[in-house]
Amino acid sequence: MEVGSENVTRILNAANEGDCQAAEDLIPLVYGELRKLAAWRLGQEAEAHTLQATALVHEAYLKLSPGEPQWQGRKHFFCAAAESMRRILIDRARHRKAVRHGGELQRTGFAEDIIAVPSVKDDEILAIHEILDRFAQIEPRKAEVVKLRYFVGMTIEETAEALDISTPTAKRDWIYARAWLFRELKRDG
Amino acid sequence: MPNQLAPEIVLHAALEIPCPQERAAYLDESCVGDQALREEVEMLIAAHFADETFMEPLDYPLWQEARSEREGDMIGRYKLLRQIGEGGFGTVYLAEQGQPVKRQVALKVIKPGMDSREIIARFEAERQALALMDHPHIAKVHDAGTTEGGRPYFVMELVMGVPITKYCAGSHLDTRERLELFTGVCAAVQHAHQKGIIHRDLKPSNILVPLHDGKPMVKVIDFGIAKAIGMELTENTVFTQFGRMIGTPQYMSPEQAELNALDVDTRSDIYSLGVILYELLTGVTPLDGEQLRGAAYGEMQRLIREQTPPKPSTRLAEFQEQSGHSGVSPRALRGDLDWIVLKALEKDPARRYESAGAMAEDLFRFLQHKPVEARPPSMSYLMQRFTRRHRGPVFAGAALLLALLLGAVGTTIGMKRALDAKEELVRKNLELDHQKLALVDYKERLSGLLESNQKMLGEISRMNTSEAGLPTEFEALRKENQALLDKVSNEVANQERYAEEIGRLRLANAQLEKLVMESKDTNAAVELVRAALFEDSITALTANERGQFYLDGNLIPFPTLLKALATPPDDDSVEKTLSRSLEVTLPAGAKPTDAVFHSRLRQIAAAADQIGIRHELLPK
Repeated sequence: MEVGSENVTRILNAANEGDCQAAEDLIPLVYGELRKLAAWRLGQEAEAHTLQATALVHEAYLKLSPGEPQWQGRKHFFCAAAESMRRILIDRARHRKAVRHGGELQRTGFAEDIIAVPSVKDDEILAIHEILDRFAQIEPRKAEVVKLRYFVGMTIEETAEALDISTPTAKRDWIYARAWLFRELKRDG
Repeated sequence: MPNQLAPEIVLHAALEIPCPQERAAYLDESCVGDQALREEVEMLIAAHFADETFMEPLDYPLWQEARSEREGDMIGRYKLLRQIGEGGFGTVYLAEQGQPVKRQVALKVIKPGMDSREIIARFEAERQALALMDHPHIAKVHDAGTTEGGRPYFVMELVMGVPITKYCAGSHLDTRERLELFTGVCAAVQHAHQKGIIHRDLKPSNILVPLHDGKPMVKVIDFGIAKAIGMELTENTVFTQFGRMIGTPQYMSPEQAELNALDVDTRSDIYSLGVILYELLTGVTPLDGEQLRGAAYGEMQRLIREQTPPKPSTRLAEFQEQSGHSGVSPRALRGDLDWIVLKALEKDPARRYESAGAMAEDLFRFLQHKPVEARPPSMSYLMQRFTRRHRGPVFAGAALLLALLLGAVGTTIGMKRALDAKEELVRKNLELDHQKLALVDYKERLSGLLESNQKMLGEISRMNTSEAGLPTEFEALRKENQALLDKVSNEVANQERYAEEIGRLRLANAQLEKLVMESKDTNAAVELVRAALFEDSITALTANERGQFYLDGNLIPFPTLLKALATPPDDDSVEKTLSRSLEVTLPAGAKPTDAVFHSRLRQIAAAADQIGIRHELLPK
């Protein structure tokens, strides 16, 4: 975990200096961190009450960030975390669907199962996942808003803060993205 | 690419316009000459409004406390030594206080999910009152605060003991010893009530028995905590927002089980005391915890509100029979102790002991073999309670049963009560007409009625053997009952699961008819028989060896039968009359000319001829 943290800090610093590839590189690390945190919490709490995805991401943030309030790497971190959370949720949604459709429950103690997700609508999560990349090609920032708000469960205000945009902008982005995605889904369906 | 941005800008501007017409006008204006843009924006607007639940994010609180406390941690000035308990709303630790005095305390950390500031504020408000409590049987609350993670905690006098029920069972205490221990609990509750503090969550796990100088000594813990943490809003509503049961419903008074538990006062604690005493005497709680937990919320409320537990002595006898376990003799409970427990357990707070002290006094009287204050509930009270339980469509049924019962008991008082009940009934009917009741309501009410119907019918049948007359009012009441039954049946006709209940309700109604028939009120009976006689085109009567006549299995007094036959129903059409026939089945081997039948059959034949009903009752 410690080695991972160092890597993250180094990559985040690189990202801060404008290395676009750095944010991409971050994803596996943050992804691993989130899963580890979830697993650790699962082991810690006998009662295993669920974790909020948002809280988990913030917890990872506290762990990985250097602790300066104005730290510029935060935006990259949250983008990486949002993408990670998206992958975790997609994995989980697919896994649950497989189990529901007669597949065997092979993974036990699946750490992700204790994450309280913003939405429990597996089908919707999977459908949005399918078209989100297409949307990200056209509207990258709005796609980030969707990931933070939809997959992590952040409020508009938190999303705005994480992406360093104004709250009204985050709100408009969300409204547009939601309408766009809905229309695309209907068109595909 | 400005063209690609345009739809978004138009979309946001359009969404700011609430009125659809104005919005359309705006689109006309801004998309003029650009059909593609117009279509795009219109699709997005439609998508925006299409499904509110689409991608609905739930706003979770940002932070959940990172980890739970562990041994060795400091909370405020208290050092956690080890966990000693885990309850519905928190974890209890053995902790050590260093300042200003060195002592061990119990520290209870509340689970996250409630507004900590509010809890602490409420605790501060309660604190003064809590400080006033000073009683050997009450564990003191020393302090409260919030952990670094923002979770509230309470510091209490350390009580190392087992729950009172467990202690009594484990130490094989006899009834007298149990009662003596329990009066200590009453004294504690009385003390708190006098200081204006209600416990709200009295249950065995909050009443501990540590040994004090080798002698058992009850200690009530958590006084005032329930209020401080807003349990009336969370725990006592029993279900969390996720529908999970977290409270202890079997100790909860009916008024606490209500969603808006505004009526909770000291008498709710008296109820809980009643439950605990019941458990101490019988080993089980009056209402089955498993059943309550398994029930849906509405059903659970209904059970708490309506289900009358068996007397402790009855329950104990049942229990001992089932388990082959013998201990306290049920006979020791029968009578006074039964009534003391049931008085505390009254559904109506006003009928319980007015104070924990009064309950304790009654127990002392019992222990000293003096007459106790508690009495078996009177019949009139039982009926009042019965009436109150049933409102709405089935009120008619209940009121009728009540009226019948009253009528059977004594005509003078019975009449007055019955008329009152009828008035009430009419009022309720009006009310009913004003309300469009949901099917769910019907179901609940139906099942509620059925339970009592069965019970009350038993009572009525028993009392009816006393040959008391039934006032005329009852037939009218029965009709209303029937009408309402039909109404309910129609409303729920397509709901199969109600079929059985309605069936049973009909059976109850049939039994009522039978009662009317057997009563001395011939007019009502004649009405009833007449309706039944002309219901179908073929009227089939059965006679027994003694020359008595039955219709649909019901014995019909002969004069009633004749009177009913004398006039056909007013609305009878000519065709129907023409095709009507009357058949009488005689017992095997009997002939119409037998002396026992002959005269009666002739009279029936004459009446039938009179109104033109075909028959072959007597050989020509």
